[in-house]
Amino acid sequence: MTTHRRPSDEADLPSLEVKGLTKRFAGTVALDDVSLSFRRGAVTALLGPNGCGKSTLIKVLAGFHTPEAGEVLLDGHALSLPVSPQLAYRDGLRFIHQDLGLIDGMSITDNFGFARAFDGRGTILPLNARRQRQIAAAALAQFGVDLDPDRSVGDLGRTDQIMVSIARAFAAHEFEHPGVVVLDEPTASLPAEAVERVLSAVELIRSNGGTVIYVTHRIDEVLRIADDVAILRDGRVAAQHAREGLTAGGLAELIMGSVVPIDMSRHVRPAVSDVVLTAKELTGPRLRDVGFEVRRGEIVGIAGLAGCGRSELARMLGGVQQLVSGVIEVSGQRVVLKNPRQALDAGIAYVPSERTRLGLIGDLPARINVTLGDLKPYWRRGFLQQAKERRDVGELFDRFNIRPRDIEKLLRLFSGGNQQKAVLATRARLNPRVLVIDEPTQGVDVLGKQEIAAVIRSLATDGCAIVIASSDFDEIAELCDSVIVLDRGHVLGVFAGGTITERDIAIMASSQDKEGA
Amino acid sequence: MTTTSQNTARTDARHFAAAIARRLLTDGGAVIFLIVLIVGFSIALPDLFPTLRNVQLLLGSYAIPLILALAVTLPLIAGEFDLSVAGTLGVAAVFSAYTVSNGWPVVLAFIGSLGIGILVGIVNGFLVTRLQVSAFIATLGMGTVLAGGNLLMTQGQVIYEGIGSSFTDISGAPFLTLSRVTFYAFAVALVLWYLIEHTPFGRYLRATGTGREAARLTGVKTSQTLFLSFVLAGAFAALAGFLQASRAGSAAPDVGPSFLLPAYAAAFLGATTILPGRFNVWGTVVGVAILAVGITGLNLAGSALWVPDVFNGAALILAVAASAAVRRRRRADKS
Repeated sequence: MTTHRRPSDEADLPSLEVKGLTKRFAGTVALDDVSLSFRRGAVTALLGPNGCGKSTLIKVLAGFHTPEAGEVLLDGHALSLPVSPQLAYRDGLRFIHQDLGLIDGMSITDNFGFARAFDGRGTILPLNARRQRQIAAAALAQFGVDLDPDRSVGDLGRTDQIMVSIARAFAAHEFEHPGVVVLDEPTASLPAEAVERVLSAVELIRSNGGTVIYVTHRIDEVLRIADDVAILRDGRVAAQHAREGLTAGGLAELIMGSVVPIDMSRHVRPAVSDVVLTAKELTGPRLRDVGFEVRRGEIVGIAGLAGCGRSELARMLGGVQQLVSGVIEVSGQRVVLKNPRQALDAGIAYVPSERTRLGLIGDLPARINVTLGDLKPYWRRGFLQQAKERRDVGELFDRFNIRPRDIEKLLRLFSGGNQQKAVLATRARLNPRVLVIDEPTQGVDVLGKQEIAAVIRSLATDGCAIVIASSDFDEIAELCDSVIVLDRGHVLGVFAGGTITERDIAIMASSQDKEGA
Repeated sequence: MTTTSQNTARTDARHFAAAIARRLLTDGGAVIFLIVLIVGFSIALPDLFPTLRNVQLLLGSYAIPLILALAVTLPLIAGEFDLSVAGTLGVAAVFSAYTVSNGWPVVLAFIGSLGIGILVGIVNGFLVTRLQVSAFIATLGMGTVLAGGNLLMTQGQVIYEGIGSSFTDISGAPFLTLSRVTFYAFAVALVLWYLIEHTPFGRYLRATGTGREAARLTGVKTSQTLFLSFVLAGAFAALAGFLQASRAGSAAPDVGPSFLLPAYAAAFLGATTILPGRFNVWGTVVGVAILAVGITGLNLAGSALWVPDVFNGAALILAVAASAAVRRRRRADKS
């Protein structure tokens, strides 16, 4: 049955190779003569700062983009370009994209089925439901995923969804002979122990002889799992070699092309300051009796495993989700937050975690995004004063170091880190008393993370009370003055003052995870 | 050396030609098409088309479609269809004709018409923002209800008795050799251009249409913006209806529905030009001009009854296809 062209006697031949790939987008070169090879039975980490060309390379492999030059060789055979997704699938090329490509309203079985075109049953022939279900169940079992294939994908947590989409790539007989698997930041929004499950799955694919291309921003994962590293920078191959012998610092340097200044300085937190935000017994969807205080100039972290309620808490503070009971006070005044506008009027600005969908309007220019929340300063004599607006936005671009400094460019064309800085700028210019940020650095590269951390610190130093909800314990440990750990909607514990480490948070967060989970 | 520079020159020329071709197909396409139509008809029908009489007629008869096309542009920018505008136009026309023929002062007829349009907009806005009915469905239903209301009000008869020149002069009396209604339409265009391009409301409209939830989280009152866009669309549609009755000096029970398609065709044609990729006032003006010149020219050339429908329908489909192409190209250029 299998039509994979995979000559087992040519084990030395790279499984996937790209030669001289070049892709231009109206003037800018996204891929510039990129040649890389990926070994069979090895995990190659594909690294590089935001906007380096990783996504473009993957999109060329997946057949979204047609390269201007170069070739793609699968087991030594050149594929015709643009890559045909159907032929690539037949030849064992699999993608686990960041959005996973699952259909929420359908069962796991059906999600398996449509990806495999229901095993060639065509469009109108009846399906063998039991067989489809068996294929799904078997693939899930291979990866040790214990889920009922009849469950709807939309009901699953993020981790289970990722495991389902990984298992889906290897239904039935393909499991023993995996081809090339491309995983695009599969762990971007996962807590620590879920990351481990994904990495185990990757190791399993590797031990079966699969070729894994693993895209990530997390250097610890690279050190943990990669055999080779391939680094892109400005659309060119900056380095490709074995991972062995590379340290975290060395990797960061290779990725950014220069020594990354690790800024470990904490912001200067005022010794005594007023309480700005008080939350008392907040109860609502997923949350029970959560209470805490944030002072002027203080950064408070909300940590916890997936499903602990940290995003819900952030949404409540932002006026996006309603309280069932409880009280929110800003500077001692009770506030009722029925919508984001009311939250802003009360002095609370909220940055959502889904940056591209909720944080910004990608199809509008950066300038319009940045000033949208408050146009009053430019509304003079019956006209929006665009010259003044441009000047102000330009200054914000400088202050937040947003690059490129092209305020008229559509915001979706900026890299993830610069988009996030722009979102922070939109909120910071409203001078909120409280800034609530959900996942401040999701999908942002090493340097971007540093810059965003610096921005958050400087806002705190200027007197803003900051609440950070994050699945990245490292980030929380580095940034926050105190940390509240949530577990299934209630406060499990609080770290205040002193040095908080990632390890402490992780241990507390998972301490009660076993019981009843 | 010579060969090289010749080659360069040839390459440059080729790039230039390619750039022109691209513009023809997309950004500037609508404007160039309009010019081609005007020049073409002027050459083909030198005694009929490029005459003062024809220009006066054309500007007069397409002023009301322009007002309606501008009315639909507002909800379109906010990301929603308002299919009730033609119904509103009809009701306002019948209402003004009916009240004027019954001896009401013209001012009252005007205020009443506007009131009806605003009321329709309020109901549409309520259905869409509060009851979360899809705007397409809500306004389709509303338009049909209004058309039925017209039959009820008119009892199926054309209203024409007792309508005097005090009413018909409002639109018909000449000013600088053109009908006044032409100037009203351009005044509406100016007002909407100001609203859309130079006020916070215009920004909110765009943000609501481009990324509603993100705009809401940034503090934009998206429901209020959308609501207001329906109210304004209703008001301008009613203005168009009032002027239609004044221009015709009568109101037929079935006035209205035939205005809907040209309005959308013009708005979508407009989204391909001037500020390509988004609905915009001067683009919509160009869109109406294309329909006006195309249909009038073909009529003068002696084509039959079927021309306006076929032209409007084909223009709508081509316009939507072209605006999709503009969007794709702009994406590809910049991604």
